[in-house]
Amino acid sequence: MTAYLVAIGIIALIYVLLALSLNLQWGHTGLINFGLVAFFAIGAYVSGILSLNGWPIVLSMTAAVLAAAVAAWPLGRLTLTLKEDYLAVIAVGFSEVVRSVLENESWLTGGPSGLPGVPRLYAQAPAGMRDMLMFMTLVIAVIVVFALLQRLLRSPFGGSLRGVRDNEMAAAALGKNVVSFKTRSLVLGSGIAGLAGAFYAHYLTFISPEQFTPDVTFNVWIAVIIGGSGRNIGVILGTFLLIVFLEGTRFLNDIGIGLDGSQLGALRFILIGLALVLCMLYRPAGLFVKPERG
Amino acid sequence: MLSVTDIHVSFGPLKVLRGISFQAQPRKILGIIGPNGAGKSTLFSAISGFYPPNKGTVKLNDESLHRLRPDQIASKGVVRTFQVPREFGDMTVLQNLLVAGSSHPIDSIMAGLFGGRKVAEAQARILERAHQMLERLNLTVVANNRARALSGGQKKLLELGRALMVQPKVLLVDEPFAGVAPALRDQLVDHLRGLREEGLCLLVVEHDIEAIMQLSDRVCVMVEGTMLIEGSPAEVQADARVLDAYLGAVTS
Amino acid sequence: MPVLQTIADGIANGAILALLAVGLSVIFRLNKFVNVAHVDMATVGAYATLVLFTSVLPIFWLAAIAGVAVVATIGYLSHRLVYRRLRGQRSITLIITSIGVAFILRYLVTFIWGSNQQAFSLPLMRAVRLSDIRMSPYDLVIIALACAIFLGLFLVMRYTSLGRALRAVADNPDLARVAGLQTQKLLTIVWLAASALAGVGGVLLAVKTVITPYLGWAMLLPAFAAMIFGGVGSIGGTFLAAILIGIVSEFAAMYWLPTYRLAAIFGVIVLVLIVRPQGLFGVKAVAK
Repeated sequence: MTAYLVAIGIIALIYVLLALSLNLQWGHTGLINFGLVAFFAIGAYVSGILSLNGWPIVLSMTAAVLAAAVAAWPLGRLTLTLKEDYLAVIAVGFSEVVRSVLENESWLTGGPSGLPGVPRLYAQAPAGMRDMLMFMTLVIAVIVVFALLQRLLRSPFGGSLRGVRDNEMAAAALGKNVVSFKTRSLVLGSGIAGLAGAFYAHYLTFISPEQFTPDVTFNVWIAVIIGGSGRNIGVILGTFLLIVFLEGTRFLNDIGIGLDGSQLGALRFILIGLALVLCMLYRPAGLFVKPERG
Repeated sequence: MLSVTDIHVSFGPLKVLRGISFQAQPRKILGIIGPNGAGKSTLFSAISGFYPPNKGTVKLNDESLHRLRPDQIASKGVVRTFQVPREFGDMTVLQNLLVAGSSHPIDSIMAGLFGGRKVAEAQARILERAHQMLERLNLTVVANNRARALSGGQKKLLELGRALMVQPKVLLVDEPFAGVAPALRDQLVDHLRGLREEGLCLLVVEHDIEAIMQLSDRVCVMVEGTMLIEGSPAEVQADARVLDAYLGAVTS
Repeated sequence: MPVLQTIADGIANGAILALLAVGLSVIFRLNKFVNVAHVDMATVGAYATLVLFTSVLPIFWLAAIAGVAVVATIGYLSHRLVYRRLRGQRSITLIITSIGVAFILRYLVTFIWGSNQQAFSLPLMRAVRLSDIRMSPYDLVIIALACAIFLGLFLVMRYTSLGRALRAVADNPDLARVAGLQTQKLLTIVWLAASALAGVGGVLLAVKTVITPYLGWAMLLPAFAAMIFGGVGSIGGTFLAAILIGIVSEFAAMYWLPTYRLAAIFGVIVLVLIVRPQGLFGVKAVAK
């Protein structure tokens, strides 16, 4: 039982990192980054490939964060002067292009069959301890990222980001370089997503392009929206709610609702879709945020 | 000193500004009036970089503002407000002012993460200025309210306050009196005059003729993208063409 | 000649894409958001037709018409029950909502019919030879149908009072309302028509390929590319752009890698945004 909870905890914390990344980009800067999974994937593959080639994991993870951050720059350059709808769809396209590169360039990425044997973190530790150590490391990582983000978001930089989010033209008229702020937010957030990807790779030890579809992006979006975009705490709660939902529905079979695997998956998404629509109609600020009265 | 020379702005086939020229001096208030559609707000957008002119130049103290982004122009000291207030809705009134007051490098990532004492001191100074601004504009009581919840007149005041936090040299104020209660309007006129004494160069677009004549040192009348006349308030009020322009706009 | 063949195949794909893209474009022009669920309507159209074809309406074109009617209704309902209530909100709210609707549609389909591939059992037809190229009669019908539909759309928009009213609402909704145009009724018509077109696109796509729940979703990026390449709101532009994209993507599949089809389309988007952001015949600028 504990092992199961630890496993879920690890995945939850990885998603929390993704949610924090998205909250910076969307919650505080208003960027519709529908391509989040691209940076998750880049982080995972860069750390995976480098560590398979002998790099120490600490270095490969650092490289992964940097690679993901750098990769955000061209996406930003292309889309940040456009209407937000355009950014949204192009970002999805970007993440799918990244995925097709991962599928096709098998000389580098192992192609559709993926990359097996990625070194674990704490490979030296005995099997039972490994996951626990991974979990603790993630807890520390999340706390550090969270603390840094809070500090940054409470600083004038954070205020300027939110100004850009709330009213770009006003922000520009007050001397804020809108594109520069958006780019920095995108790059920083993508670096965090890369970190999440690196952890993911070293935990699962097997990564393949199938794991990096837009579904991942949308799961994180749902966590951030339902949790209430803007508040990092709300976002974390939303993530846990999401994970509980995703995991919890696995047990439906056990309690006698006879659905096969893919039907269960489909049902999950139907409920998520319904939740999204209802949330947008009635509680656009999220579940954990009191609706503003005036 | 702001000098605007023969600027033209067109949106496709539509010519909105057709050769506007004037100069605005520090310690002077230049009022800009004209019927709807004359291009007054577009003029502000052209000067501040939102709609770069197709032809003509805008210079601040002989330095051309050609091809600069709006935020660059604002950093050089030319700040505009918007006709319809563009408050940062999800932030409080105080936060709106603080964001406006924190310029580069205070609002950089480095300062935010590794700021230390110098940044903290700068922030304290900005906070001080913000509180003073709240006082001057009678907004202290709503300092911690969400900006989107303010009344129309209060939003206008916030718009002005924010622009002032940037410490501009030239301030382009777009309809500051619209929706503002008459008692407050007089206070605003006094406030703007005070700013003038402090050395600011003010351009004010308004529909309220009375307020403009009361406030301005010189008045420009714009009609259909051109400057009809520029002169002292008395001169402009006496000019028959001005009356024509307004009546003409009403009857046409 | 293989090049001509590739072009011909591309045109057939492009014709279907055009049907999907034009609805997307019109909804974007009128409602100001990218309706992500639009392409999933195509999927619903394919499945609805499948159900009818294999049960009560074994005549294909009848089943197809009924299937398209089903899609039009669903599209209308999504407008009425959901999007209309959010009118005027930021596009992000509408996009997220449309993602929710897309999930509901796509996964309802998966829930009921599973994710396995299915197909219409239509008679196999020998390819027709036109000089050097061979085309399936189905492809020819698809191209003819798309051309006819687009011609009809073009004529309606240009020469009827309905078309003029739609253009007025698109350009200036407030003015249109003041001028007495029944905006609500017009929007209803638009949503019905756009969804119907998506349905037709879905049926034709299913005729040409296989039916899976991801049928429509896979076309989101191509449809979006056609929309911005053609210029938002331009019917002729969308048609032309879709054909061109169909051809480009076919070339990418033949001479590069089939799995890089998408990358080629993405490349088109990037190129358009850099070189000519308003698209071929677009009116509005894309940058803010």
